[in-house]
Amino acid sequence: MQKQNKISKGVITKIVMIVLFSALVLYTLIIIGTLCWGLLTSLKNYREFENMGNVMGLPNLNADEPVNSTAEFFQLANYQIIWSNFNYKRTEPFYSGTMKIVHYCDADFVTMLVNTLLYTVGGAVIYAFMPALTAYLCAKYPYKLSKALFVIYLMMMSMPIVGNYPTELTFLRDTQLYDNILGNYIQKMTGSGMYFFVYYAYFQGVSNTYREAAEIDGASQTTIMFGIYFPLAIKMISTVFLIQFVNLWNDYQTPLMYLPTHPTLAFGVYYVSYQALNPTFYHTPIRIAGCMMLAIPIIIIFVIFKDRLMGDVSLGGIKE
Amino acid sequence: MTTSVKTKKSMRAGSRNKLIFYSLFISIPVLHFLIFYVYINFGSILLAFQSYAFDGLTGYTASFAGFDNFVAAWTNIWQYSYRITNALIHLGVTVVICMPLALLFSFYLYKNYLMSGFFKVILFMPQLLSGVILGLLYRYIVTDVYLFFAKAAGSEEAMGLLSQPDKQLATVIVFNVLMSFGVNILTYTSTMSGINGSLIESAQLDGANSMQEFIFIVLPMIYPTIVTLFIVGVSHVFTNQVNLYTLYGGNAGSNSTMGYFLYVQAKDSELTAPREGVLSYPVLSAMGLILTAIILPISMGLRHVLNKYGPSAD
Repeated sequence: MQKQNKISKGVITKIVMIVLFSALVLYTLIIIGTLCWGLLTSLKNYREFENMGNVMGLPNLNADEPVNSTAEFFQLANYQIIWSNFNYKRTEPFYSGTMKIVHYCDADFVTMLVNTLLYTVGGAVIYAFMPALTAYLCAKYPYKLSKALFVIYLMMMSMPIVGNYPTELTFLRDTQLYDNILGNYIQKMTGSGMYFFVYYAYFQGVSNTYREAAEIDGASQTTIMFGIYFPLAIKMISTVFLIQFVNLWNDYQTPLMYLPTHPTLAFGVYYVSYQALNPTFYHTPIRIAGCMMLAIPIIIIFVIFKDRLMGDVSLGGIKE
Repeated sequence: MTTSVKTKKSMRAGSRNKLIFYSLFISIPVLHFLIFYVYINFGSILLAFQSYAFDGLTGYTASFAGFDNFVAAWTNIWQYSYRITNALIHLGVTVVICMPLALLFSFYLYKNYLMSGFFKVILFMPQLLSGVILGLLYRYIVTDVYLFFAKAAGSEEAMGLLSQPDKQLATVIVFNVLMSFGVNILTYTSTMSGINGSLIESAQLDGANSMQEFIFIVLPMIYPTIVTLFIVGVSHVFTNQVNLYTLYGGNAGSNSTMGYFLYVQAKDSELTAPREGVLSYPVLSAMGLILTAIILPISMGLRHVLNKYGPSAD
């Protein structure tokens, strides 16, 4: 009887494993298949893809045939087209109180890259640092305000507020923080969010002895924070920075809403796919080359920082 | 005596410095909260009761609108109720398909079954490459690749899956299911790895199979995390754009959800409606308040019920 139980237990475990394994293999094939198809298509001549109907096959590398993809495959011609023709022009008129303001932009690839770096690096630094600062102050300085802020942030996380874009946009326009990077940084300076609680749990767990010893030695509060506690949490802060960097790199909707004349690369790729008036970008292989260009830096970052990006991020804290 | 006075003085100076330091740094998040949360949300309430007139010389002038904006917002919500229906369908898919799949996949990774390290990387891919890259590729696949296979199968279909009225919703749902893993999987596996190993061992000694282990030990132990992610899903039901902007641009039509609609409208609108079909900011604010009034008690009530009557780790 016991032996029979053991056998059935083994069979059920195996069935569960096989079913889940099959589902995961299917998922893998879809994701990898999509990326491989994208990569191969970005290396095809658009006429081969659109006119010759080579949608699924490998690029035709026979240079003797009239329609072939040798330039696209060996010289990355589609990528070069994106690099040299990427251009975004926009005029954004808006009212700041009673004053009419008009912003213009004429951005090429390099401008978009600079915008992207300002948006992602600056934004990720703020998103990683501000919750850490607020959590440190709330955890290590038990004033009433610290306790109140903790409760408020907890309530903010569980209270859904829908549709405050209009007020936010009106406020940003009135204060002239709309459509500029500095304004966007100020918008991001919140101490709240999931990472506040992650940092809070961490700083609460770090002993106060360091601080007491430093105080006896005459260290200032700033030195204690930046010289002792933040270096202790540097791994966690850099993990949050990396996660936010990836999120902001891929974010095109926020720049579209709040920074319309500061297009980032993600926005550029989206724009090329939907709104570009330049006929060069009407072809699927060239548009897909844009997507792949956006993916490459993120894949490199992932290869280097895989363990950190996929570290144990849990609602209770980041395990180092 | 002198030493004691000196010590007292230095202690007082120390706590004063501490307070100055604290006030200086805490003022940044506090000010941010007051402006970008309190003022903005309070401003939404005020905006919802105002109407604006535009004059090329003086800009916008405000006047009290009573409940007109609320009436206009409610009429619009009611007239295009498919946006609510779509939002609820996507929430249903999240709860019925995405969450159970994410839990099962996380269990697979937690148990370190075959190739779990590799699968963890693959499941993280949508998080890494995001909607904009995978979304655009998906859009081309359900158009170009689909038409290629349809043609090969002898069909004369001329439209991709995202353009066919009877297949649009399912196509959007499939994409959102594919994109739904990532951070959720990492969160679940992290929480599962915190389960006491002796509990699992004793269950195994008692003859529990994998599914029993999953249902009777793992799920109750990570129940608070499941509730948190579920409530987050519910509370975002009216802000979730379900990647429609990536898949359709500004023309999702009858596939729109409330989150998508509010985003597109806010992007295109002004204090006065710039053209037909676009709502003014005051009407959008009123719409936001109505939707908040609906979803706030639901999500708070659900949290309370789930925490009170859910399974206990004991």
